[in-house]
Amino acid sequence: MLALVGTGLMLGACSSHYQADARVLGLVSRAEFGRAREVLYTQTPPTGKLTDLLDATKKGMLALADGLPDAAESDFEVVFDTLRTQGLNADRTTESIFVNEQGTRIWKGEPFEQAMAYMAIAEADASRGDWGNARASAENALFHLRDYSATSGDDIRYTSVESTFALGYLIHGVAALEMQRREEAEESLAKAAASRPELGPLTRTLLDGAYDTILVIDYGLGPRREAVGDGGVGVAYFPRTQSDDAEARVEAGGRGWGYPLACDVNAMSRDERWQSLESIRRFKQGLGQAMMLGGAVLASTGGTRGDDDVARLAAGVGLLALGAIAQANSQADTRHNELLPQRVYVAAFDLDGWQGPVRVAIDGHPGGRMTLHGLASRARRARVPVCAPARRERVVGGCTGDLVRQRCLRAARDADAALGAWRPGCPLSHAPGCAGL
Amino acid sequence: MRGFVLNSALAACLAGVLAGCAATRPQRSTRLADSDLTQAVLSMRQQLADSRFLQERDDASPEARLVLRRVENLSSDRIPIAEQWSLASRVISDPGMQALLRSKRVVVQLPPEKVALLERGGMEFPDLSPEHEPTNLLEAQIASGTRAGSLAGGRDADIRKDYYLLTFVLEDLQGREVLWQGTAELAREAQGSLVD
Repeated sequence: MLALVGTGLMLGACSSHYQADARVLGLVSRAEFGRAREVLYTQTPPTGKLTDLLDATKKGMLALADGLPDAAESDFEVVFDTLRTQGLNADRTTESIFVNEQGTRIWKGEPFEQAMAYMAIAEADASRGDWGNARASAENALFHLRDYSATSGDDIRYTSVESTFALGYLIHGVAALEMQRREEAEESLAKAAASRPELGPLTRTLLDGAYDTILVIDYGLGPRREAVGDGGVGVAYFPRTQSDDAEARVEAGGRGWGYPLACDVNAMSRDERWQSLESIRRFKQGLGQAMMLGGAVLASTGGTRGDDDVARLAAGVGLLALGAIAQANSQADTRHNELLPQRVYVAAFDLDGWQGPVRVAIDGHPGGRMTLHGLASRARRARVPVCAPARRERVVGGCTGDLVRQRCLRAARDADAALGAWRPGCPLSHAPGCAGL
Repeated sequence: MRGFVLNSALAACLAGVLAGCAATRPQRSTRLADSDLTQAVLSMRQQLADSRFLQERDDASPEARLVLRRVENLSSDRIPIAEQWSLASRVISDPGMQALLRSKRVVVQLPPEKVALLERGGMEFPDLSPEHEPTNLLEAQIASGTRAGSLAGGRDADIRKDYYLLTFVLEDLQGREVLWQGTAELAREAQGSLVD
């Protein structure tokens, strides 16, 4: 019995909280993605296992931010495969009650983290012009959510509702447009505008085809997950970068455009519809308390009246010890993807032949600016620094993969529609005159 | 009495363990497996071999120059570009199919995208002269539909089924005529919560 109690104490002592890597966060804040990747890869060499989802997600996102979508491919394949695996923790629920959850459950992330991971994969695919896979990944991010609005008191009730993930609908719509699936694109973009009405003008720009470049702009650091409450059994998210409604500004060749938020990760982390583990947490806390109570009753009714009573006393103390283990180890799992952005913008604009630098800035955030070069000829995605010096413009030549729609794609569609336009030496996906792109 | 209860409990536990071992473990993912694609390719190859397009041709037919495109992914699964090419190429790369195509005066040309890739790798290809322009295009598409439900009758979906449809179309580039279309259907079912 003492051994059992000792085991409980030992397991309790082993439960430790997830520590986000401050060094990596600092490097990401300054848009030094290459060095951040170096640190991350040194700390956690790849193993290709399902259990590495959190590491793989972070590495893939950093490679994408660093402008290397191809380098993200192997990590993102692990991420996609793991996210698409059902019942990943089905056999680990009971075990996780007695051993701390963080040590037994495979991290899959909260639904909002899963959706953001799917979006990173979609953006990497789109950066390479692989719109079919971009569409598939975005579609996977649009899973149904749980609406808990019918819950009253301890009676938790929820219904399955359609996703309101505007960013997912936007990228899904763009991919559908690029694949000449107009009706599907209209449906997705209408849902994006319905979720965030301020995106209406952007969706009209997309449907009108009045753009030749799409830029996905990440800014800030995603929220921190912490254990809260008595015994640390609950979880809550706290912002690292505060939310606001600042627009993203894009300037090129003397022209400028403003874009509203497409996604606020802080808001998602606080929205119950994007949570999944709270009910498990409550269940575990309740079970722990029930075991403690049951053990106390059994032990107090045990006594010295014979073998049966001694056995009952032992059983009572044993149950008490198990309850203590469950309580001590049901501290919340605080693992989270600290490399998520705080917010995401989607910009669609027409460079109209401009070959010079494209400047991106977040309104009201002096450090949040970035200059992109060669945007017209390279696919990119921008993660804007949080804390770049205000007076020095950060020039990042080869950073990140925005979604750049080549100017010749529209002509390519025409060429596809009439393959008679095929010319020797010109790839089928390019119109005459576009060879070499 | 206590011994009987203990033995019964042990027996029940043992039976449970054995039953668990004997039961087939349910699939956990509805993603396409390599075996699915191999099966689809074999079916497609047979359908092409049996097609009227090939049946009506012989060694005296005018040369048909066939160019491939990679499979367009319209499914919910992520299919790497290499696999998209592989899926299309495997239909005609089989030696038996190659021999059949040669006997019917069907020439398979390198797809322009592959030529461009090889040229970037340092290989040189002469410009195609007009008589080498492709006359036919073989393109493919993979689409899917998803259905989900609850085995336990609860509110959360814990079973999902994806239906995949692989379609190959052979077109005459001049007349825009569909000369042959082959299809293969696949389905994969998986159990367990997706959100987890």
